Formats: sequence, structure tokens, C-alpha cells
Amino acid sequence: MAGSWGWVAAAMLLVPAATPADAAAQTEPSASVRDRVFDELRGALQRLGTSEEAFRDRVKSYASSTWELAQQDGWSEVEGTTAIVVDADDSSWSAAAFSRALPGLRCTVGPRRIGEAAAEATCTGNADYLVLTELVPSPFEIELRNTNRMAAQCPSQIASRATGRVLIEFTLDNHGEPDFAGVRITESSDIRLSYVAIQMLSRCKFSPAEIDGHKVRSRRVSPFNIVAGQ
Amino acid sequence: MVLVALMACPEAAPGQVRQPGTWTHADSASIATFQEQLQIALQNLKNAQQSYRRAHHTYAPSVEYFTDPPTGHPVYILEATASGWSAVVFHERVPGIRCYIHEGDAPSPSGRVEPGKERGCYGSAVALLPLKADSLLSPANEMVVAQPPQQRDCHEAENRVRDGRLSRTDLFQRHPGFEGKARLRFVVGTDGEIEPGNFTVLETSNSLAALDAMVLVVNCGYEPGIMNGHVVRVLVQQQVNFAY
Repeated sequence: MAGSWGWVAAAMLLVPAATPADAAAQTEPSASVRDRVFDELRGALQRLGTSEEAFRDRVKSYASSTWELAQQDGWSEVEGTTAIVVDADDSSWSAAAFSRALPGLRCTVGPRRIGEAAAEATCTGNADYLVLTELVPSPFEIELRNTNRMAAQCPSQIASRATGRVLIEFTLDNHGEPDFAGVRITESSDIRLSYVAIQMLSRCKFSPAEIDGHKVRSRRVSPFNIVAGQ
Repeated sequence: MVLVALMACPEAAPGQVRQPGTWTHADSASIATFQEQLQIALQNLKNAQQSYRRAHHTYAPSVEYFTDPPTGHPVYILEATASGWSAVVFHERVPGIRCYIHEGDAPSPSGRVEPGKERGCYGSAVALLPLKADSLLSPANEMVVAQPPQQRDCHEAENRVRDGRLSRTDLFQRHPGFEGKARLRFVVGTDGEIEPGNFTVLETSNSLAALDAMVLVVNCGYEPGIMNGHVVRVLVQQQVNFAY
């Protein structure tokens, strides 16, 4: 099997490129990233609350999970966020919402009882870890991705006898160094390509991600297109 | 010498294995089993939080912050400071039930939680969802593996890594006396081959050790896991210790 691996080939790394639409988003003035994420999470919780009230009108109890809301009410996630029902019964519910791109940020609401005035969600956390691993990101994530466009210098030549594409997920520290504990191959057609991709990652130099001018840790997915030599 | 240790294989758990493509309301015995699984997930989360706090002097605000995030059940950290944290974990097959944990000065996630109690479960199961068609055998679900994947003879592969015939990292030629380790997670398919698009380095002393460990496990090869007389895909964690 792999005992016959050969090492006379070339491989190249393709860094994700921004589309013209992304570039336009990059130039827009914006509030601090943290505040914008909190606004999105509050919006997600507000939508969840509306669904909970509609659910109670029909079932006489609040839904205990977003799965139930999806079944009964066609509820679906707000792009780029994850909302959960923390607790629910006949007379009250509480919930939380999280950002997929900035998992250190979250908002919570409740317990909210029947007839109670809508209370503002409480939001906490730090925007100190950026996760850009969604293959179909939300518009906000596209903007974050664009402002943190991967600046990578990788070797143009590396030995490989196989050709193909590898998706590799990894964490960069706030100095731009990849952390090999946590490297994950998520797509590959050949274990030899997976090996070459990790080998290439170990030889690349990256720039760290930045949020509001601060260098932060980040988790990314990068495609490595590996072309075998002749 | 290269030592290879097969670590975590799917844990056995009681409970019914339902046919994919169907779902019914969960019975109380199954719910108890699912809650036990969630309690195990919370214990794993607690261990991860303790390690994180030792390293960073605060608790992690999300499982994404862990190098080796807990797998299997969706876990959400609701609060995390230097002095406390709380979380809930859900069962992906049983919407409606969840287990909670809170430590230090973090408040309990639910008002119905008994005062002074660190953890517990609440809610009611509204459905039992089917296993996904491509479900892996792992601690994440309740299936029992009769026979986990068996590693074939690694002696030849070890020799080839050691003398540089298999590995191109030259780790041992450049660093005589090197000691290190790498812990990997991967899927052994029904053909006994490691699936190329499902491979994680959980822990490693350096990038070269991870590469050599990868070469080694691929070349050792596996006999596939078997359940109920059928070969099955199995999630495997394996640690490779290097000492030359």
C-alpha cells in the first residue's frame, strides 16, 4: 500500500480568494465586531421568542427544543448563529444564542413567563477566537473572512505522487503559528494526499487573524490542491 | 522502539438499537440510558474545563476553545469566568432532554434545579430520532461493537519508519534520542483502510511526530470492526509513543 509511496512531484497550495462582492464588504464602515455579533444574537433570540409564543398558542406549552419548533412552526436557525432552548415548560422558557464565527460570544434570555414584558437579552464574552470553518458562511462571516484573508507563504514544491484536493482544518495562534494538536483532515480522496497536506501545513507561514485591531487565535478550513509531478 | 497503543474503542452501552429510518417516542428505560450518556459527556466536559483552567487561569467560554473538543453530543457553555462555569448538553437523538452542570459562582441554568446540586437532567423526551445512515460506532451513540478493529502486525512498518524508508520527516536521523508522542483519531472503514477524509491529530509533541504517527498507523493496517456479524465503520483513537 503506502510502502510504495514516491516523492517526486510538485504540489501547490491555493489560498481562498475573495470575490468582488467580498471586497466591497471589506470597505464598509462597521461597528465593533463584538457589538455587531451581539445584535445578531439578540435578533436570533427575539425570533426564537416569537416562535415559542406561536408554539404555545397551539400546544399550550412552550417548546422544549428547537427541533420541536422546526417541526411545528418551521423555525430555522438565523445564519451564522446557533440558538438553543435552555429550559421550557407550560408557563416559561429560557434560551441562549451563540455565534459560530466568534464562539466566545453568547447571549441568554429568560426565564420569560407568560404575559411578561420582553426583557433584553444579556450578552457576554470576548471576541478573542475566530472560527471560519463553515463552507457556506453567513454574509457577516464572509466579511470577517475577507478582513482576515489568509496570508500564507507555502512551499511551491513538495513531493507527491497523487493528485487531488484536501480540506484541512487547523488553528492558528495569535502569532500565526499553526497548532498541530487539533489539525483535522475533513475531505480527501487519498490518505497519501492527507499526509502531504499536513506536511505542507508544517512548512507554511501565516499571518494571524485580527479582530478590531487585535491579533487573535483562529480556526480555519483551507483547501490544498495537490498536483503530482511527472 | 516505537510503541503503539490502541486506546479508546467504542464503549459499550445498554439500550435499544433502533432501525435507521424510523423513530418512536422514547421509553423510560431508553431515556435513562440517554441521560447516562449525557452525564458522561458532562464529566468529559468538566475534565476539559479543569485542564483549560490550569493552562489559562479561566474557564473556556466555548468547546471550540478546547484542542480536543468533546465529541458526540452538542454541548453549550452558558457562562464561563475565572471562578465558575455552567453548561448544558443535549442528546442529538432525543430532543427535549438535557443535562446541566454548574460550578463555582456560575448560576444554575434552570430554576428547577435543586439548590446545591452540581449537575442533573431535566426536560422530557419528545422524540427518538433515527441514527443517521452513516453513523459511526463511537461513544457518541449507543451501539455495541462486538469486535473493534484489530491492528495488524506493525513490526515491519515500525522498522521502516525508524530507518527512514517510510517516513520523509527524518525526525530520528536529525534528533537521535528523540522521545515524543502523537494521539490520532480516525475512522477505520469496512475495508479495514483508514478513511482519508476523516483524520484528526488530537495531541502531538510536534508536527513531525504527527506525520510519523500518521505514516505508521496507515501502514500497520487494520482488520475492520465487526458488529452482529457485519463489518462496520469505527471511530478509533490511537496513541503512538516514540522513543529511540
